[in-house]
Amino acid sequence: MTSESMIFVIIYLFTLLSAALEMVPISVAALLGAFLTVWFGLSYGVFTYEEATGFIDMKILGLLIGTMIVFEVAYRSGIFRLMALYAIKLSGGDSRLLFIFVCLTSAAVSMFLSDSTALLMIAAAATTISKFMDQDPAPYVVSAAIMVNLGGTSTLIGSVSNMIIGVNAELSFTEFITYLAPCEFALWALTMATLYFNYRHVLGEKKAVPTYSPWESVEDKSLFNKSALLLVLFLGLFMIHDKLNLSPEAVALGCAVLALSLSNLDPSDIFRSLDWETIFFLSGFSIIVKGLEGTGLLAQLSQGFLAVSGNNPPLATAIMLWMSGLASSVVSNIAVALTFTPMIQEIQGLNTTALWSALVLGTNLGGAATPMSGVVVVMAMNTLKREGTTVSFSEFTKIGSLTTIIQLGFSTIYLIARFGLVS
Amino acid sequence: MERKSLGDEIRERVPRIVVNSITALIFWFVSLTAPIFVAGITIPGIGLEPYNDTGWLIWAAATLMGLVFLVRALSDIIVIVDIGVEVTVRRLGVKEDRPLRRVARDLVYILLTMLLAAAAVPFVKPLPQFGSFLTAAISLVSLGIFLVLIYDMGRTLYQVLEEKTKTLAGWLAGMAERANERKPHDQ
Repeated sequence: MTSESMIFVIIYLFTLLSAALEMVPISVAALLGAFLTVWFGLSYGVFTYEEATGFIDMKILGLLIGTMIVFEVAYRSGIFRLMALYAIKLSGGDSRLLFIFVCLTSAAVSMFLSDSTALLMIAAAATTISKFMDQDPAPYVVSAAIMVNLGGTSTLIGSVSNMIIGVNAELSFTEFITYLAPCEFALWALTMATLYFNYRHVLGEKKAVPTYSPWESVEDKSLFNKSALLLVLFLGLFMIHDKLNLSPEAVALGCAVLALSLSNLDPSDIFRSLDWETIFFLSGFSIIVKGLEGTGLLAQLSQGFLAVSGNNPPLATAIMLWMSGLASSVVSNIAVALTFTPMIQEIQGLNTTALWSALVLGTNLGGAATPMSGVVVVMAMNTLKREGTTVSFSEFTKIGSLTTIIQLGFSTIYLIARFGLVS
Repeated sequence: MERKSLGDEIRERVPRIVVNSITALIFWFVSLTAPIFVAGITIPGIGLEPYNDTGWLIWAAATLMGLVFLVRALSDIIVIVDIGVEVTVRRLGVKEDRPLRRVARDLVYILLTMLLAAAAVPFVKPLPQFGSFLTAAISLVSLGIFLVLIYDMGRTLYQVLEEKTKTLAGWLAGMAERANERKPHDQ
């Protein structure tokens, strides 16, 4: 390794560690790393200033920002609150049924909403209902966090890491669903069963819920209708975007413009609600990874990956899945997706669709193994703390790592079977 | 055991370091000079050459005593260095008490120091007159910070290991005691 490569590795490690230790906000860590990458890259002549200006992938940013705007408008219309309230109503006060509904709603809502927004909404509903039912909110909130992390694994817009992988792998919305939806739904069932068996003794008895109409929660019916139509259009266009020769970011940005025009909401208020922390982290970390790529290190790593897997498709897929899953349980899954993407792009002679799918599953599933694995779990822990309930690190890790191992184990079998890797 | 304050440690240990170091120096001086004056004088009754030479005996005794005082001084110096490192790393921003997070923070500071030094050197080096001096200064300061942080990492890991070993020893002792209690008494 040359001293130039060494510098970029140090920047990469410095960014990951300072973000993981919360020494600075993750966006600041990534921007600091990006600044150092550009500084050293230009000093050592690894890349030119013109090349550096192209390091941020505008396609991914467009897809991310467009999706965020569409779902922020839908969130404000009350569509997702209505879904959650219906779930609670349908349970009829049966704690076991309610637990299953909370799990299902968490996963379903996070297929479209950002994980943090989905968790905030579900956690608020879960704590309210557990108070009413006179139960410990911990099983509901912890399960919601795990299910929110799992939800959206099979959609291009389900998580930021999916967008990064989808855009780089040129996977369409429908391809994403075709390859991964069966696995995701099976994982929902497996994870719910694991969570239910873990918490079945602490779920209380049936209690009547007050009668209410979920529709009363919708304040602006006109906005609700427009948002519902827009969501149908958004998802419909995503289903056929490849046939229309439209790129995913064009669909997302187009629908975002429509949402802003039709909703009559204050656009500056919508823009303020966007997750800028994620947008800046993604931008900064893209630059850091490009710097690392410029030194040829990632190409060497992918050669090393091929050497370790011995060009054996099932082994290579399993290694990619578990490696990205374990890495995502320690550092941000956005960072993992950005690092592994150029590695897979370098690989030839293996089933790359299987590798991309393994990366999607790994980066998504690793996010709820420990209380430090992802922002969703941190938010769930904070919600519980505010409610006066504490879930210890080991308590969460016990259930979090168990569900992660089960999910990764099942995904390994699924990928090998789905892509016919054992001939 | 109650931990003493930083001021108390310095008040107690610094005079001991000074006295022990001076005594060690005196014995070292004696070990060098005294044998010259008694060269060739043998101690009657000891037939083991060259160990019956007075000069050799004085050298050996003075060196041994010097080493004893040096070890005493070093044991106090280590405590003072520990305190100094603790103060320095806290000033640098490592205030974490959980061991593994502290080690990780030390590592982040080591990486940051390396990056800052590497970024500064190309700018400082070409400066006329002061360039090489400033480059050397940056390298030495970075090296100093590395040493302090690496020492802190080692010290923290040592504490973790010590704690775990004590827990293991306690567990083994408990097992042995329980096994002993279960044994039927021979009476």
